[in-house]
Amino acid sequence: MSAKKANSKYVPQPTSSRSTWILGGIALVVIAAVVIIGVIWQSDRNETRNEGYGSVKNSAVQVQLQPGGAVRLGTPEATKTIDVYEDSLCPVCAQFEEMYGQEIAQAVDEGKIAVQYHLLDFLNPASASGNYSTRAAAAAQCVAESGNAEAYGKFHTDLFDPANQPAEHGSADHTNEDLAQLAKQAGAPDDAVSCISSGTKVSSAGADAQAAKAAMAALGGKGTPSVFNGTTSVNIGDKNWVSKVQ
Amino acid sequence: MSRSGRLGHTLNLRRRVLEYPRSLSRVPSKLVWIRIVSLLARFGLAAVWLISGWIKAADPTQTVVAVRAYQLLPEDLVRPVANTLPFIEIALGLLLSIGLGVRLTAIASAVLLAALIFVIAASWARGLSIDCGCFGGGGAADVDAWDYGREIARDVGFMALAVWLIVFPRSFGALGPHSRAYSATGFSVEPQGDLAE
Repeated sequence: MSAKKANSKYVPQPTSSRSTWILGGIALVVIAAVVIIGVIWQSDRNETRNEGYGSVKNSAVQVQLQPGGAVRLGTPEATKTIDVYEDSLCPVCAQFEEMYGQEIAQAVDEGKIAVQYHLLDFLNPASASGNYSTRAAAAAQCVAESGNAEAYGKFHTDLFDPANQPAEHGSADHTNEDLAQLAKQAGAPDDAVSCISSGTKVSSAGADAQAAKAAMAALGGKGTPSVFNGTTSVNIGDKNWVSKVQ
Repeated sequence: MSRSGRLGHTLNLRRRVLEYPRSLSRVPSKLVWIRIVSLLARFGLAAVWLISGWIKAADPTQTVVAVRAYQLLPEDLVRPVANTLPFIEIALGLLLSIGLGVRLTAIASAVLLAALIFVIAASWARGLSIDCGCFGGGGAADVDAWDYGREIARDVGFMALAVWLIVFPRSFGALGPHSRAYSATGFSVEPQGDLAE
């Protein structure tokens, strides 16, 4: 290396003074602390809330497909209702579900909140089939219509599971038949399964998704996932938001 | 540190003091230029790591999504990597900023950059269209070969800074004994003695 050549007139330098060693040592300790504290802090921020709870399991929880296409999941007594806007193809929504899905499920089971899910489809162009988001929204409506809340909760979780969620701009996504299988595994009754595989709800789900997107935009939502408590936008970057909206 | 015995140290000091006028006049201007380039490379690379690490640290969800989008890691490793990477980058940036262990830091930078270049190239080869997430962001996006090429070219540019610093780690205003341009007494201009000896 060229440094070697220049080194022919090597003059040994005093390697260091005590103060540089102290300064360097302090700097190393500070940097190590930044890394360790940073990683712990970040892990805490990215932690799955309520890990191990799973999806809703209380038999008192009901699911209703509402006139506008939104799906309400909650006990009849739950007075607080939050609105969740998601697109089935959105990776940040998958991360949202992974982090908060189980905490939401428990709050729903305990009757503290009810959730209205609005499935949008603006990411259709990014799906391999060109209409995956709409078909996934239709499938969720089929399961909701069956009235089986436990199956709906499980199906909704599975849709957003990174293991199942198709990649944006990916080479493949799920056919209606695949979605029907997923619903069946989640415990959806036969009429819901055939509703999905026949694609009965796809066109109405598309219209519902358009309306839901407009509703979200009217509330000031800029993308998915967006959560609203009435007309107030919920800061889902705050990891305690689920307990705060209760 | 091998010559840091008291006697050796005194002798060295004597020699340098005796040589002082000559040694200063003999400082090749080329060497000064190398030190200046090293200084720019050091702060350039430090800025790259600090900015990139900061943006990633500030949006943890986006960082997880970006790491996952590459589809290279098993799901169990996605979050640990996403949680750690930003702070590794920040640590590299801080070490370069203060000039501590510059050669080692530059080697680590080059290794990390090589890994990032590999990851981007792998997604390109597999036809994934994802935003690289290099400066935050990430996840799927409409990207084409041009975007991938540009991202790789940028990282290769950063790699050049790292390689320069591996070869010439010394620069002005550095804290580390082997990263300083001059000795503590301020006049000995000495290229990388530690490797050469």
